[in-house]
Amino acid sequence: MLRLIQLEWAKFHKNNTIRMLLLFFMLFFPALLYFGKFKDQVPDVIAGKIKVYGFPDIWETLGYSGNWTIFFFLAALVIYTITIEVSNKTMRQSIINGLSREEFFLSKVINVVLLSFLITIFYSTLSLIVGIKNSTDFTWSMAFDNNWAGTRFFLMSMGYLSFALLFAFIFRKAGLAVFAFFAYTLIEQIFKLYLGRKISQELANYLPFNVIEDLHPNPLSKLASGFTEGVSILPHSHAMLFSLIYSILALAAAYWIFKKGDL
Amino acid sequence: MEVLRTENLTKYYGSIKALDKLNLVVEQGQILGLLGPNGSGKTTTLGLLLSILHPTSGSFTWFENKYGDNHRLKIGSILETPNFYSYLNADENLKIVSRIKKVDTREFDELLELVRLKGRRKSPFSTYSLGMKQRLAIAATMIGNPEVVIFDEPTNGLDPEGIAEVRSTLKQIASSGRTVIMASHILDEVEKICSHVAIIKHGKLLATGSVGSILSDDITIEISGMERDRLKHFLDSYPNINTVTEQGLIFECSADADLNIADLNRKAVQSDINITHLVSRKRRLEEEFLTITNQ
Repeated sequence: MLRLIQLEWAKFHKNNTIRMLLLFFMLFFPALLYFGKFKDQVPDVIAGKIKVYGFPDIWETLGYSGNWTIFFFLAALVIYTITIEVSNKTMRQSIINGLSREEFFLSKVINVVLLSFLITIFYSTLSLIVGIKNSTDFTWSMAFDNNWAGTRFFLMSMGYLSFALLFAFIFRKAGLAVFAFFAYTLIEQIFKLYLGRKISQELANYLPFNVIEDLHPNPLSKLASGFTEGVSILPHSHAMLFSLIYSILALAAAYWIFKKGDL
Repeated sequence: MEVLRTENLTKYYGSIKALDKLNLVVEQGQILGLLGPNGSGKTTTLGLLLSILHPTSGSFTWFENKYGDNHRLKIGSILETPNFYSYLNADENLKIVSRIKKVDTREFDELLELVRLKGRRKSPFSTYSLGMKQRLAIAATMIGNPEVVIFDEPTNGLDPEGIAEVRSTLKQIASSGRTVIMASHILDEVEKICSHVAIIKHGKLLATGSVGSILSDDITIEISGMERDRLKHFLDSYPNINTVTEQGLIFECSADADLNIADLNRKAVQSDINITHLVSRKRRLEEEFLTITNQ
């Protein structure tokens, strides 16, 4: 496994596209905090019920930011790490040189897991720093009373990035894979509406990207309990379980496609 | 030791049969030339043997299964084009190959010297000419001291200087005692370097064996004279001359090995034909190849 990590590092640590996507993620991820500049304009009904920068809500604030930035920047990064190998023909050359298909695939899964782990550390560190600064009567137990926020963030990242990996292996071209990844989001939204109206709203909530998204939903959604339609967030335990299942299914499908196909 | 054995190796692309029940054996130390026209199945064969393509049916065994699934660690190969990370330099790309091959090589001075890339080792791969890319690929095939080296059209797309450089490197590799499998169109090169050939057309193996056994005993006679029509008629009716073709001003004849060239000359003169050019030589591999593939 160390050899595979070293291989991926050797391949990509000097790649400018990867560096840029990571940089954009690091810049945009805490960007929501910038909206604190306008906090005087936040309606009292919200300001009173959500401590955006304090514990425990900072975990959800930054978690929601991760929902967007992982989806746009890191999914593209994972897609790129696979499609660049197709376009350079280094995927087939790696197999020719002696890497097994299992090892090659495992190296890409390790990328996804490691990346998810590292950004979870980044998210947790940032949340703690901002939360401590903006909480009165701070205690560590208060800081970590966050409904498994770190685990949810990790699973959310794994979910999006596993599907990105799947789309990369299906389409093999960067532009096409990224387009398909974004297009699937829209398709699922439309299908969710249809499923919700024609069959069951509850069933519609268990579609893959909806499950992943509900791991760190919009922090304002908890204020919407008074609305009867359109706002339905899965319980954290369900979202965690099903996102894990979907991640495993996405990775299994990607592996099957890679294993069976000609290079 | 048998380095490679294929058994009824077959590959379909949809309904197109690219390879049809290939049965081939390569012994250790052989230098095998894989010959065939474009689209004959050479690259498909190599792709199957290197596990980037899945066979439709049939099987192959490397090194009598001595290394199991790790046999490709003992093989160095260039398939079609040199494939590297365009933003990395020679050293960085070769380090990646070393890691894949589980070889603890960090210095590539000797290898880069062999392929004359030492001066450009720190330049990104994307800045290399085609010849330089090909030479880097040759360097990569030698990492891990492979037992078998496979080249697929190694001089494709190169200018004459590039071809000469690659040719010289290939000769060095071929003389090192390794088993070499080389797919090529350059038949005179194959004839000079290879000990054995396998000729493929439309996915079928037409002939295989040592270069000597593939080349028939027939000789080739080049002859020209002042009286072309009379010479043509003379040659057409001369015993032991099998075929006569016109190559510009010269008639090229395929003849039995026991034809006496001095007798031919004398009889031509007796027939009032003034001979201006007369050469007898063994058939080239190219001529044999064209004969076999046109059957």
